[in-house]
Amino acid sequence: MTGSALELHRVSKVFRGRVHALRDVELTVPRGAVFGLLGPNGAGKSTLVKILTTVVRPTRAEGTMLGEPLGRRSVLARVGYLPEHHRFPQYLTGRQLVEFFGAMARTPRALRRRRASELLELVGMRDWADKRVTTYSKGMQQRTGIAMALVNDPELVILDEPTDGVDPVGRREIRDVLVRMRSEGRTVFLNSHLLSEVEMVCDSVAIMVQGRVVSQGTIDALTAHSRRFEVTFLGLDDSTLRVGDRELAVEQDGDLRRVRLPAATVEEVQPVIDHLRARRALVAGVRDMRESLEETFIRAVRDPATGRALPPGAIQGRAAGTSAPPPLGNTIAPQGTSPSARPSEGGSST
Amino acid sequence: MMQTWAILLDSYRELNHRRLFWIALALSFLVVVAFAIVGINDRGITILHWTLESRAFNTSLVSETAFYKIMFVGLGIKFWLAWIATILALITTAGMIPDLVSSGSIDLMVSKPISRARLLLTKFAGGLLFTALQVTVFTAASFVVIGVRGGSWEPGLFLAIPLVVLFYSYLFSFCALVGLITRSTVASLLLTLLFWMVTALLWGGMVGVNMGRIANRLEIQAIERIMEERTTERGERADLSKLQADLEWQEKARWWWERVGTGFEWTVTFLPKTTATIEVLEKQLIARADLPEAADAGPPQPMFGGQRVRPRVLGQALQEDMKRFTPVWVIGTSVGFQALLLGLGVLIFSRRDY
Repeated sequence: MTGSALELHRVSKVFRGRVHALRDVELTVPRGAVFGLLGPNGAGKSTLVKILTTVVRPTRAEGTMLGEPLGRRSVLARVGYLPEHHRFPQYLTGRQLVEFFGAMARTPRALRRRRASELLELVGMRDWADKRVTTYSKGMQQRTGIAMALVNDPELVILDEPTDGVDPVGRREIRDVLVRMRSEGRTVFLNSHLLSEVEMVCDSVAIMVQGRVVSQGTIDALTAHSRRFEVTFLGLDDSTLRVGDRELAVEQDGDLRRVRLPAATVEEVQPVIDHLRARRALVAGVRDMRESLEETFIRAVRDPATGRALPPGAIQGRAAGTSAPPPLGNTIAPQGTSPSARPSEGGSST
Repeated sequence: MMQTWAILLDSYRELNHRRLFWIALALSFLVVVAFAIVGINDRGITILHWTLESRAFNTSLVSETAFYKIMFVGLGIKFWLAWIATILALITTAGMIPDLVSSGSIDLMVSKPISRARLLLTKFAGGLLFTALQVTVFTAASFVVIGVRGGSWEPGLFLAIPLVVLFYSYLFSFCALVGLITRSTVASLLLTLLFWMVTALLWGGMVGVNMGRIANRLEIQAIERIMEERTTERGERADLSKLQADLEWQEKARWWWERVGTGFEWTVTFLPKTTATIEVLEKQLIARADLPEAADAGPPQPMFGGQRVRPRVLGQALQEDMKRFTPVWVIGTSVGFQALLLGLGVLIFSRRDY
């Protein structure tokens, strides 16, 4: 399938006429992708998810979900949803829960029974399927919730903090399920605080701050501006290196010395290596570095004027003393290099 | 239909999970068992194999069949189902709507392809399941007891099922609306009990005021008649001063009775009529299930009455006046109020963000 699973334009929500939870959100989620929505507490992520699932009515919204106008109830039969802080009926067993919500999503009886068994096995809850939900731990409830979200064989799966309360092994298994969903052609809309997890499974992400999407795109695209090369070597005592018209600072790193080339390409690194070899230095390594998603996120939620994190929560009118978040789109201004930058995927090291 | 059945099945499971559901059902069953072990013969009241001899109360006064039917209406319907079982039902079901709209639960339900109106109304119907099951069990068991012990098989008894469920639905619609607004089980339960008390008091108040109004009317008629008789008998020599003063006082009082009575009637017309619905059931059972008149309370006992109107005449006049409140009026206006509450509930539920 091609096209977008979600196309959102000018989605706004004002609670009680003064709390601006969402401000003209523009978002595109490609079909068949695992999409991560990031943001600090109170950024409006859950409100956005609730608008998609008709739990909250938008003040203004345009766009489509699975090709149908936003807010159309019939499309929800093709959507699976696991809310954050859900409360399952305590009188149901895991199997009854999955089957009940399958029926609510208009899944035929035979199909939902079969899928309930398959999915409970998939999430590792087969042995607990016929026990009451009240006996489940938080992690087990999350697993069952994922089975519930998938029972109607949805094209779009919206998961709000699915790994909340789940142990590391369980998280790994849930990640595997997400990857499997993608391989089955489903679109996954993941709302999570856990950036490392998002980074591991998501094809693209959006960062929301104070009700606005300030950045969106693939993780590579979001972190591309921070790309740099790091060359480590032995054998020169200079504090700076002059290569062509560039002057590079040399840092001491134990026995090794290091120079960094911000936003460089592979071609730009070659003269530096040539220069070092010409001066009989021993090149120990060349690393392709870029910022982690966490660093990108932290920078996105930081007030550019004060350098401090923007206050959490929705804006009430025009909040005094707060700057507007960075503008929409993949437009986060590059900052200086960070010592904790990570090597990019496929980064070379010699 | 798939979603409707799923919600109803879920409601049953929810009720089934609550211990009070089974306690109430067991109590209903025990009441019927108590029915079955009590009997009447020519020597008095029987309990299992024992006989409590009574010359006043035996089959010479009331037949065995009539005895069971009177027990069914007098104790089973008016006392058990209309009071105790209803309170138990309210306690059991008061939490259904607050639970539905509670945080974390409502997201799961309204994010499904079902309209909120249908969701709320089906859940409401699910709440009525409790009473329907209770009344069905009670009525079916009573039907068997009256058949076996009283020797009369009366399918008309099953009219109790729709009418008691209807009676309960008035209260549950209020309970559901309060639960929807406050999201609190305790608030919805307490306010519903208060509402029930108020409607019952208003109905009783209206009957009482009607009685006063009729007594006043009859008193005026009686005074005028006496004055006319005395004038005819004695001509100008008749001393009518005391009668005249009484008449003036009654005329003044009529103004107040009429206004207060009209106020009560308008208020009661708007509200659900719980007491009157049970009275409708009672009357219908008397008519359809061949219940003896003894089951009926007879003319209401007048609370008011002047010196010149006999209580029996006043009681009959009041009974005649109460015929204005036909079953169609009682049920129609009550269902109208219920529809208003449910409509308001649907409106609130459909527009609210969760």
